[in-house]
Amino acid sequence: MTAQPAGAGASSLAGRLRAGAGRSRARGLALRIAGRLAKAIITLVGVAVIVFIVLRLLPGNQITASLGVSAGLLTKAQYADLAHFYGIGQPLPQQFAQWAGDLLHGNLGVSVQSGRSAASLIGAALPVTLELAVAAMVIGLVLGVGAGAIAAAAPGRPADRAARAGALAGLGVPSFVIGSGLVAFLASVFHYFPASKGFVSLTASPWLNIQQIFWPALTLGLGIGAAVLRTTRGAMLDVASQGFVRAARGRGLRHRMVIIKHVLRNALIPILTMSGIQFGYLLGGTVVVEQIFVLPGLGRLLLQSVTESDFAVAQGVTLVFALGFILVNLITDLLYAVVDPRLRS
Amino acid sequence: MTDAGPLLAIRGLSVGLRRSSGVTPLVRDVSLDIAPGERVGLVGESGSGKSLTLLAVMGLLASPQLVVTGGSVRLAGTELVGAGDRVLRALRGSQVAMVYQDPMTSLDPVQRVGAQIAEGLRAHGTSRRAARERTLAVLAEVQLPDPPALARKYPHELSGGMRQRVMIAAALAGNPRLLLADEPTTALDVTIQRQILALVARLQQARNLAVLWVTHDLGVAAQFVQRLAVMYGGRVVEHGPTATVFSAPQHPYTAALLAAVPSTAGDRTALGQIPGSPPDPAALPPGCSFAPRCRQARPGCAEREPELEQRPGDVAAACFVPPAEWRS
Amino acid sequence: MAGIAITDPAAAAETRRAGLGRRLWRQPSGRAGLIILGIMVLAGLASLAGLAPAAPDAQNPAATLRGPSAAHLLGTDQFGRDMLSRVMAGTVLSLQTALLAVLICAVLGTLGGVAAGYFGGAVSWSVTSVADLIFAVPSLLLALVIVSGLGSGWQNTAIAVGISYTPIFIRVVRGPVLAIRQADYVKAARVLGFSRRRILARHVLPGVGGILAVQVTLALGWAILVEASLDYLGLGPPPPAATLGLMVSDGTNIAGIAWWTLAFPAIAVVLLVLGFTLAGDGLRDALDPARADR
Repeated sequence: MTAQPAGAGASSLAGRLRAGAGRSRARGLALRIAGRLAKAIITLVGVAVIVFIVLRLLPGNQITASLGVSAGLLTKAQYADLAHFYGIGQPLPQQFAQWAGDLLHGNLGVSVQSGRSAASLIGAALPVTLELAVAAMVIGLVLGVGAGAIAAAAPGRPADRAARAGALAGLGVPSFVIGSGLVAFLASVFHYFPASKGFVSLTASPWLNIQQIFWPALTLGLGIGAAVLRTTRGAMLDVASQGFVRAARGRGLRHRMVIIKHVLRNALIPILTMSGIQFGYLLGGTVVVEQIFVLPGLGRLLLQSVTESDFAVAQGVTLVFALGFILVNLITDLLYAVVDPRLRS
Repeated sequence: MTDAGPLLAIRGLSVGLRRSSGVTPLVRDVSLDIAPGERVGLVGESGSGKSLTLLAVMGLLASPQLVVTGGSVRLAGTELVGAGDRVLRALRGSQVAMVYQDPMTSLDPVQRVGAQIAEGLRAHGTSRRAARERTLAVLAEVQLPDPPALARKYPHELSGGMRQRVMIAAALAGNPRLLLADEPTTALDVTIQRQILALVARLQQARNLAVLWVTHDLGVAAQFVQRLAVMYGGRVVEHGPTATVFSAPQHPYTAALLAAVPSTAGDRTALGQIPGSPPDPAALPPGCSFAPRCRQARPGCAEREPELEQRPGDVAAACFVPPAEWRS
Repeated sequence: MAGIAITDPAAAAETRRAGLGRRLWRQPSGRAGLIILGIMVLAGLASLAGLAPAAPDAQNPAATLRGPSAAHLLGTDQFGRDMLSRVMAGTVLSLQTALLAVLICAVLGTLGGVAAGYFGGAVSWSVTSVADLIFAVPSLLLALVIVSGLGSGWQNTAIAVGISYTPIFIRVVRGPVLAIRQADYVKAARVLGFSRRRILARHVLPGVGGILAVQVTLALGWAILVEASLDYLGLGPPPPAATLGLMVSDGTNIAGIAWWTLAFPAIAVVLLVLGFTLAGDGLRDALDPARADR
C-alpha cells in the first residue's frame, strides 16, 4: 500500500520530466540531484575516515588478532614482516592512503580469520541483508501506514486505541526480545527451527527462502511499523484539521476518498522522513536479528568480524552499511520533491 | 421543491460546543430564508457565529464536539439537520457549494488545481472526460487565462486572487443553486477584493445563483446583497433589506457598525472600533448580549433578552429601546 | 506583553517547573510511565540494599530450572540461580549503564549543540559536520564497533551508547539555541553587558531545559534498548554478570522447557524501555499542551 504511492510518484516524476514541463525545472532538479549526490559522497568519505580511525585507535591489531597470545612469541623480524604484510608498520595517514587506494579498486583487504578477501565475504552476505531489509521495510510500511491511516480516520474510536496500544508495544519491545520470543514460540509450538536447514538463497529455493526471511523481517518490521504508525497518525491528524480537507468534503467527496487523496497524500512527507530514520535503525537491527535467526548476512558478518578483531572485514561492512544509509537518505531527499510539488522549483 | 418556497430555509438553528461541563452555545436560534437567485448577507464580528452557521448548513462542523443542538435547515425541501452522510454528500457541490475565507489553505498544496475541481464532479458520477471539459469551462468562466495550462498548475504557483478564482470555479463546477461565501475577499488585497466581488456578482446574475455572503465588512455587504442579517453573540439581532438597514438601523449594534464604516465606501474596515469586546459564549450575560457595550442600554436590558420582532418596513430587530429614542 | 519582550521565559519556567511534575502525573501516559519506572527503580534499589532473596550468581545444583513458586517467585535458571534476584540485579546494571550513557551524550550533545547554535560560523560548521558524519553510521552499528574495541564492561557499553547518541542531542539542542540567541531578552542581556558565560548559563541553557528533559527521558529508553541488545549479542559484561540481555539470550534456548527464564528478563527489559518511552511522551505532552489535545 505504501510502496504504491512512492512507485507511482517515481514514474510520474519521470513522466513529468519527459513531458518537459519546463526545461528550467528539469535543470533545477538535476542540480538538486547533483548537489545531494556530492554531499552524499563527501559524507561517505568522512565516514570512511572515521571508521578507519576508530578501528585503529582500538587496542590490538591484525597480528594479535590472527595469532592471539602466540603473537608474543614472534621474533622482531617476523613481527616486522607480518606488519609489512598487513600494512600496519607505516604511519596512519599512509595506511589510510593505502587502504583508500585499495578501496577505490574494490579491494577491501583480506580477512585475517578466513583468509578470504573481505570483498568476497561482503559480496556473499549483502544479498541476504538486502532481502531482509527490503522485506522488513515493506512489512513496516504496510503495517505502519495502514494502521496509522485507520487510526487517524476515526480518532478516539476502538480501532484507534488498539492501533496506538500496538504502536506503544512495538516501540517498547526491543527486536531481540521479539526475535527471541518468536524463535521460542516457533520451536515449541511448530517445532520449527529457523537455523536447522541452513540458509537457502531466493534463487535456489524461493519458498524455503521466504520462510526463512519472513520471521526475521517481521521482527524488524514490527518496530518500524510502530514508529511509522505514530508518525502517520500524527501527521494525518495535523492535515485533517486543514481547510482544504474541509473544502474537499464540501465538494461532496466520500470520507474515504478525502482521507486517501488529501489527508494521507499530504501526510506522506513526515512519513517519508520517519521511514528514512527507521532505515537506520533497521540496519542496526539486522545485526541482532541475523544473529537470532542465524542468517548469513552483513549484520552477522559485522558482529563476527568485530568480535574477532578482523579489521578489514569490519571496516568494509561498516562502510557498506553507511553507504546504504546514505543512499537511502539521498533517495528520501529526492522523493520529497516527488511528494511535494512545492519543493520542485 | 416548488419555486414558490425558499431555496434555503433555516429555522431556529442552534450550534453548541460540547464540553465535559456542558454545552456552550455558539449559534442561537438563527432563522433565515433565501429565495432562488437571492443575495443575502450575514454580517457580524468574528466569533459572532456567522461562519458556524454556514458550516452547519453544509454539514461540515468538523470536530465531534461541535454539534447542531436544535432547529432545522431545509435546502430545496430536504432537511439537512440530522441527515445522513449520503444525503449531505449528494447535495454538497451539486446543490450547495462553499467558498472559504483563506484561498491559501483551502486548496490542497500537493494536487493540481484542475484535479481538485474535477474531483467534486467525479464524486457526483461525472465521467472523467466530461469532468475535465467542465473543469476547463468553469476555469474560463471565472476568467482565468489559458485554462488547460492553469489546470495543470499547483496552488503555490498561483497568486491569492487566482486561487480564490479557482475556489469559485470549484464551487460552481457542479452547478449549485446556492453559494455560501465565507468572507472570500477578506484575505485579499483591496483591488483583488473588488475583482472577486465583481466576478461573483456577474456569475450570480448569469446563473441566477442564490448567494449567502458572510462578511464582517459592511462596505462589501452594501455593494452586493439585497438583504442583510446582523449577528451578535450567536444571534441575529437585526434583519431587513440592505437599503433599509443602512438608512435606518433598528439595533444600536447595527448603528455602531455603520458608524465604524469610513466614508470612502468599499474600504476595508476593522469593526474593533466599538468599545469593549464581543461576549464570551461560555459566559453570556443574562439579558441582551450587547448591553454591556451598548450606549443606549437601559436598566432592563441586562435582565431579559429581547426577542427578534417584526417592525415596519420588512425589518426585524431584537432591542427593547425604540430607535426614535436614540437616533438623532 | 506586546512590543519587545524583555522578560526571560526561563524565569517564568522556574515557577512553572513545580507544576510540571503534576502535569506529567495528570497525563495518562506520563502516569503509566512514572508508575512502571517507580516499580523498576524500587526493585533496583532493593537489590542494591541487599534485599533481594538471594545473591544473583549464587548457584544451587539442587534446584535448577524450577518454575515460579513461593521459594523462587520467578523460578530458577539452569544453574539454580534465583531469577528474581538476577532480574533485579540486571535492572540495576541496565539502569546504571543507561544513566551513564545518557549523562555522556547529554553533556557532549548539549555542549556541542549550544556551541553550534550560539557561536555559529566555523564552530557551528565543524560541530554539525562531525555530528552529520556520526549520524551517517546507524547508531546501533556505531555502538557495536566502539564497544567491541573498548572491550566488555558496563562502563564501556555506556561510553559506546553515549557517543552514538550524541549527534541527536546536538541536533535537538542546536535549533532552539539558535532561536533563543535571536530573542530580544538575550539581545537585551548582551546590550546590558552581561558576560557570555552568564548569558549562556542564565538564559540559554534554561531555555532548552524542557526539550532536554524530553530528550533525556527518551534517550534513557533508547540506551536501555541498545545496552540490552549489546549484552544479548555478547558484547556486554561477560557471562557470570546478570545482564538482562544475556538472560534473554540464555533463556531463548531453554524457553521450551523453562519459559520463565526467557519471559521474566524480557518483561523487565520491555518495562524499562516502555517506562521511559511513556514518560517521555507524557513529558512532551505536559510541556506542549496543544499536542496533548489529540
